[in-house]
Amino acid sequence: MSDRGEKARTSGRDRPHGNRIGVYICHCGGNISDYVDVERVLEAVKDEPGVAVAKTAMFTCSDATQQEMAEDIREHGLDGLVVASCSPKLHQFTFREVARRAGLNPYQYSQVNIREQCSWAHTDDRAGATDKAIRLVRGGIARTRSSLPLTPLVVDTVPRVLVVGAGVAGLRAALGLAQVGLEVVVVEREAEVGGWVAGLGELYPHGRHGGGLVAGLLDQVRAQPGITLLTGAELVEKSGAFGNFQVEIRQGASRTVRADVGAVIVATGFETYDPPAGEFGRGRPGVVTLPEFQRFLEAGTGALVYEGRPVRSIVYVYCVGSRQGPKAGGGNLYCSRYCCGAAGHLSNRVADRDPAVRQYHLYRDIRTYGNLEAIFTESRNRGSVYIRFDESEPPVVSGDAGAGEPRLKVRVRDLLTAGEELDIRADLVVLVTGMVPRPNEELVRTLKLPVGKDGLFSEIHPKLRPVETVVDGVLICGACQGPKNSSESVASALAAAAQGAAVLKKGYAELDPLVAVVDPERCDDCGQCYPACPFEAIERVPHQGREVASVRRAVCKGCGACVPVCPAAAIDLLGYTDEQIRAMIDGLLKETA
Amino acid sequence: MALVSPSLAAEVRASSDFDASACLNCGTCTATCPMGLDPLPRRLFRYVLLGLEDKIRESVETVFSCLLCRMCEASCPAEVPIAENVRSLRRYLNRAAFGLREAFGEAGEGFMSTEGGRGDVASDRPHRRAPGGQS
Ligand SMILES: Cc1cc2nc3c(=O)[nH]c(=O)nc-3n(C[C@H](O)[C@H](O)[C@H](O)COP(=O)(O)OP(=O)(O)OC[C@H]3O[C@@H](n4cnc5c(N)ncnc54)[C@H](O)[C@@H]3O)c2cc1C
Ligand code: SF4
Ligand code: SF4
Repeated sequence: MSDRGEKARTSGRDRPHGNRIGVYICHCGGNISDYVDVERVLEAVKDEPGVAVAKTAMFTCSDATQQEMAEDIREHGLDGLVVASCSPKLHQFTFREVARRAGLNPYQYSQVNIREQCSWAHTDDRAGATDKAIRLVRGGIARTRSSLPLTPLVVDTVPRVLVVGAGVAGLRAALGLAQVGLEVVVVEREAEVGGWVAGLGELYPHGRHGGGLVAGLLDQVRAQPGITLLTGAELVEKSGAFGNFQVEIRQGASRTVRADVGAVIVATGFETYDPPAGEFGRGRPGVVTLPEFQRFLEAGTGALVYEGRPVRSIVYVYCVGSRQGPKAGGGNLYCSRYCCGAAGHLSNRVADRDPAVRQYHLYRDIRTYGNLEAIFTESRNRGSVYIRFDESEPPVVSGDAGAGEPRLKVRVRDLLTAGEELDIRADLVVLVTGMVPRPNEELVRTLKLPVGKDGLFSEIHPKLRPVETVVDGVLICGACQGPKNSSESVASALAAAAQGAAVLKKGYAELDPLVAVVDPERCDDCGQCYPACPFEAIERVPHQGREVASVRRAVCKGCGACVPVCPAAAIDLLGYTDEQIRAMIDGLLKETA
Repeated sequence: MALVSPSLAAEVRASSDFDASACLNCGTCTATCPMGLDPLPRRLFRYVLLGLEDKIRESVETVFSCLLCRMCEASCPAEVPIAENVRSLRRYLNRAAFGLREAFGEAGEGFMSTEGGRGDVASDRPHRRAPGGQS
């Protein structure tokens, strides 16, 4: 991977001709112009140094305005573009593409956010919002004046993917990748594949058999010559960068497998919450967790007998280990999504086996979205009674039900019966336990996986970039990134496969050129920047008979952490050079009146 | 404290006369009732689903005050056969509270028997008879 040969510090001021910048200020159909006087903004910025064209538009993102911008770029020979509109998260890509199409380097485009940062934030102060917009646009123009044409780093990619974890998500991702012609190495820690689903019987909502489903997937995986499946194996080392990682896998005690891969898909799944003794009667005979209950049902047929005692009455306590808000003492804040459906489904299986069993569901909210509603409806129609409790007054499970009676007693205040306090006798109490992160410190360290506050792996954006992580080339899917049932896990697995394939099938990847660069003339190798980089992107290289720091472009994320630590000011961040930042500050500080 | 009666609950399940399992507890019926009958219908339906026999027996007045006008039924989003359920409750009370089984013959066979065993569920709230308002 060759680094840039060009000199790091090139000043916009040395450019042969003066700046010719186009500035476009968006109304956003009123979203901006209702609170920001866009005409006043235009007046205030149109004579800024370097501005050649300045206009307002109703919707800058509309086809017509994009067209107009492209024409302006060509006609006026623009060398910079500024659009003052919404968040760059929404349209930076759109306008960079406008620049590219018109022959302007896309990195000479700056987006200024006058919607989220001005009109939406200051609806109570039009003049203030307008002043702020003027300052921000001037800052954007100033940055653009000293922008440089940058080119993305192109790296060759290896057409092979490492999949970590062979639950339904991992297996399905592997198949998806193999089907588009990529090689796959699947690493499973356990001796058997399939994760949780391998041990499940009839699955909701489709009634297919979990074990059978996994067996079918495994057959398909085995039939793919491009897939290497390693069980009893773990990833121990990863080096290299996006497109070309070197990974080391340890299988069993002695075998080490090495491979070059272009991307990594993590599908390591979840554990279920294990309530400590005493929580909802945990530890008493007859109090079981959802997976224990599921295994108990799986193991028998006909009327239910638990530990030698016939089961006549079952109480389910929902949200155990999930949604533990402040009223419940804190803990896991999220909803585990799968458990309402799973518990309702199992209660219907109980009704199949013995319709006389009385079933009471103690819930806070029922989350049976989409078709899962049918499970809930069926359960109620078959006699299950749903009792709603408040988070601040959880049910109390005790053992004093009296001789000859069901062993357990559950006390609950039923919000659906006007807060009536009820005592329910039960032979079995099922704690509907949620999903919790699977301990995986080793893997987190090796892959530098981003872990959220909830302990689950974090994607960049749950809707816009749902399977990508901040580490380029490392994707996540399935229940390791958040609670999912099996079809949702598979859907995200296919998304990860598609995302991986989209890059690797091209054979090369373009990396953002907004990275740090070291001026070797200034660097005296004091060593301070090496530990500052969270991505270990800085390496020591020889330069004219001495050693200097150098940033590996493919690894650098452009976070800028190294820039301020350099005492020699030898590091600059392309796109955000010191010169650009100073110019922006000057632009922001200029009087608006 | 009232115990949920398992036998009662089982009979409810088996009965075709009484069906409140679809009830969402939304309260539309209570809001539309021209008589302002509370605990009718939804709270009473809960008593039946839970098998709180004492509570049902305590609600005699309300059950017989219902006009069977079906205003509630017309607005119920879950299409609960509210009036039919009230009729079932009346048959049950005729038999269980007033011993009118013989006089009503077949029609007296409701969804519940009076000889329900010990319950699953108990409740200890004093029952409020006053119409209107939540207790
Ligand atoms: C009791 C119960 C009942 C359920 N019922 C249903 C149902 O009826 N319908 C439904 O749709 N969903 C159901 N679910 C949810 C379903 O189990 C999950 O959606 C599904 O298992 C998620 O798949 P996954 O591949 O993401 O994770 P997992 O199934 O957890 O698989 C992850 C795999 O990764 C492996 N692994 C972990 N760490 C590493 C590592 N470091 N290196 C290598 N391998 C690793 C694990 O060993 C495992 O094989 C149920 C869950 C439970 C607990
Ligand atoms: S799915 Fe249901 S039981 Fe599970 S956490 Fe969410 S609301 Fe609670
Ligand atoms: S209107 Fe229907 S669904 Fe709503 S509470 Fe009354 S009976 Fe139940």
